[in-house]
Amino acid sequence: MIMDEKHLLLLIDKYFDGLTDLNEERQLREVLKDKTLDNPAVNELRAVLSYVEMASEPDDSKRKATLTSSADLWRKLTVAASVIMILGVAFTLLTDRNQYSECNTMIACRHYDSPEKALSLINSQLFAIGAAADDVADDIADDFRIIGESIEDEFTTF
Amino acid sequence: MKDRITLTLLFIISALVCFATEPPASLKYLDGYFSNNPDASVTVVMGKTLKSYDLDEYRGLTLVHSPESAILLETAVKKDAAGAIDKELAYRQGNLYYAFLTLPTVEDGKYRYIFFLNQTLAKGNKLILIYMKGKASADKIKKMIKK
Repeated sequence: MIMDEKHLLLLIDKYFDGLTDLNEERQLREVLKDKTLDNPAVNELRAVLSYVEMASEPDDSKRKATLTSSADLWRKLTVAASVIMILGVAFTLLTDRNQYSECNTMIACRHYDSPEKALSLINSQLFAIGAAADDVADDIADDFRIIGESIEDEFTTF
Repeated sequence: MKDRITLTLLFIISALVCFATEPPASLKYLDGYFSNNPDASVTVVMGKTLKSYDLDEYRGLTLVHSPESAILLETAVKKDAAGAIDKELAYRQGNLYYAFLTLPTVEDGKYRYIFFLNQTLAKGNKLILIYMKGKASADKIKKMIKK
């Protein structure tokens, strides 16, 4: 929009008086884009408007940066949650193998897969372990008895 | 930078999980090591068969007339005993005769137990090594062996 200098100066005065409307301010911005205009009032307005724009710009960029970082965070959280979920599913599938029964027994290099054979061997192993555990318990009891008798003898001597 | 921290944390957590579930040294001898030994009886049971015992896994090895293998098993059991949270060890003639170990829990609080018996130090001729994993408590396991 082309504007004569007199009207421009009046509009600038009106701007500094705070009486311009949005339409007039838009007109002023358009006019100020013309770099050939060289007038102290115009230069002053140009400085003020560029300062106002500069001051408002960081807010926008900050907001954009905040939005971007929060979007990034959500993206990372989503990826992390997906990884954890995949690991969880894999772990469950791997451990669920135990739901299936498996009995493998090797006796003198011969393979048996019957649960009866496995349970028979388990019973024999546990029986031997149980007998040994009893022996160990008896040994401990014997030790206590011997210690007890020694202490008794000691006191009897006194 | 945040990506690197996240990756590093993931790596550390994975490493911790791997170390936490490191298998016991004795397991080596219950996983096919003696499969071709005619003096060995090996049994591996998993799943439904063990449900009544509250166990998920049972691995047992019986070696007859093999006193030379005792040192292998004894060394592994002693290594596991070092990391056990509860242990009963009995020695005869300077060698490990009987061991009952409770290892640190893994996988949703499941217990792991190791039994070892060297009958050649008494009147028998058997070496027995057992590994069990499941929800059964140590008391339940002891009752089981005394049936």
